[in-house]
Amino acid sequence: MLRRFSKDLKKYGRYLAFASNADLKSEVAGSYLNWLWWILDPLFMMLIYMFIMVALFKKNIDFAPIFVFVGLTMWDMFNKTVMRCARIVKEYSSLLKRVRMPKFLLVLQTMWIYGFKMLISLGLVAVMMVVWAIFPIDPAGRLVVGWEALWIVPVLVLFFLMVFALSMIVMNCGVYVEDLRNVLQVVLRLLFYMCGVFYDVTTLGFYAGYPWLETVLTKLNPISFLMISARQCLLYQTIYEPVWMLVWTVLTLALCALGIHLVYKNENTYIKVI
Amino acid sequence: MENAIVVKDLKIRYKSMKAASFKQNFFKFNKSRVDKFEALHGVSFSIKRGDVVGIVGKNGSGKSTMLSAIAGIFSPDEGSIELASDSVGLMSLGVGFQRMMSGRENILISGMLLGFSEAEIRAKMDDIIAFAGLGKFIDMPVKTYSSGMYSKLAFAITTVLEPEILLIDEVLSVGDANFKKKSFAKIKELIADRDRTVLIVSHSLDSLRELCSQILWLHEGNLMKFGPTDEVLKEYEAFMA
Repeated sequence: MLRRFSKDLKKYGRYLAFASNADLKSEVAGSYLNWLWWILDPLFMMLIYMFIMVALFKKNIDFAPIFVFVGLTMWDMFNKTVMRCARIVKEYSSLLKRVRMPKFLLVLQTMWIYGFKMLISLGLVAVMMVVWAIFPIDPAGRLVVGWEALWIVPVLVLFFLMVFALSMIVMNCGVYVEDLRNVLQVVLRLLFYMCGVFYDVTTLGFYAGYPWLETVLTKLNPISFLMISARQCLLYQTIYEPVWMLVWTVLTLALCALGIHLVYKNENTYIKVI
Repeated sequence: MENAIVVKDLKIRYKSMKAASFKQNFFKFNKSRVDKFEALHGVSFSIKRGDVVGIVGKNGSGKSTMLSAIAGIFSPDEGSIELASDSVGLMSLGVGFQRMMSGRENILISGMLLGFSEAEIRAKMDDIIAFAGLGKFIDMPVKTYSSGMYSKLAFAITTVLEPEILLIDEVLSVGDANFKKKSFAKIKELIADRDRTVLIVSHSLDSLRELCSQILWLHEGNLMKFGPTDEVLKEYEAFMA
């Protein structure tokens, strides 16, 4: 199965690059600010969530703008990719009825588009980190960037693998379950609030009586776990729970294998489902 | 001559998944989850390498389903399809075309989707551009093309990149009068290659008479007759009259 996957990936790699770039090009064509929206959109969203966090919840976190930006960037990529994959076979049905192509390409194409936007946002995170490190803007003082920041590489690799695995499974189920997207909308909304995108899920006040809840929200929720790991290594010179990182790596690889297996097993019947 | 395509007891079923919504699953336990429709009911035949075979039948008889199954777009529910070559192409106009990309970029995208490597496509790029005859428009976004120009480019891509087993679904000629002649001649040229096996689905019996040595007649998912063109078409015309 993995041999077939790598063979297909090699064969269709160039197509994937061309088609994804074409999608990105189409997205900005006709808009006045063009690709600038890829920068402005996350910036505006960060300002909105900063307002919610500081003005409404009266919470403050060290290096809050970067904290929120990292969370939003990761959430956006995960949320948009998974949601789109729930209907992607139907979206591409006219193409799939005419050519034989491995269907995992649709997931990778979607990930490429949102991953590209995520990388732009991460570039902005890097710029913000430099600014916060040079100038004492934050009440917590200057940002210190330690060697722990390198931990972001395995965190992001695991994050992309997790998004791929879940999107593959969702794409496969989305073909057979008509209203999966509606269910996903509710589940993802709940997950959004459970991930601490604009608040610190590790320091909520109500854990004292419910220690299991802390484990659920910070470690058993993989997106939340990866978000915390990214923030801790970039902003607070900490490598967050390396043992759990190992556990999630093993589980994610198993989920990837399951996703690839499901899609390969069923992909030639997708188009017969009408 | 060796067999290029061997189809044995092929059955293809489509499924209506409306029945698999959450509402249906939660509230109608006693009903079947999936409505099935069988488009092909156990069809068997074999085609020798280099043969040109036409497929006829009224609408809904399973002609396009048959081509899609041979092209590998979906797998048989029962039975089997054996092909002598991996180089199979379902001639499909404008497959994967991206409106914002130039004609040249679309040649690459479409060609790769049809299963050709980038090197193979680049090697034939000039031939495709020359055949399409779009001049400077080839470097402009496809969204600026007229429908005729679009068809010319699409036809050029699918015919200049020549698979060993060519499957044609009602794409015999496109564009204006001149290009129609040119495209029909190109189809004939492709067919003339004795190493290429061709299956053509068409309602144009005159075209099939001109191009095909054999005809496969499908009726409501069953194989009615498979044999020499004149013999089968005579019976088919009498049946349809």
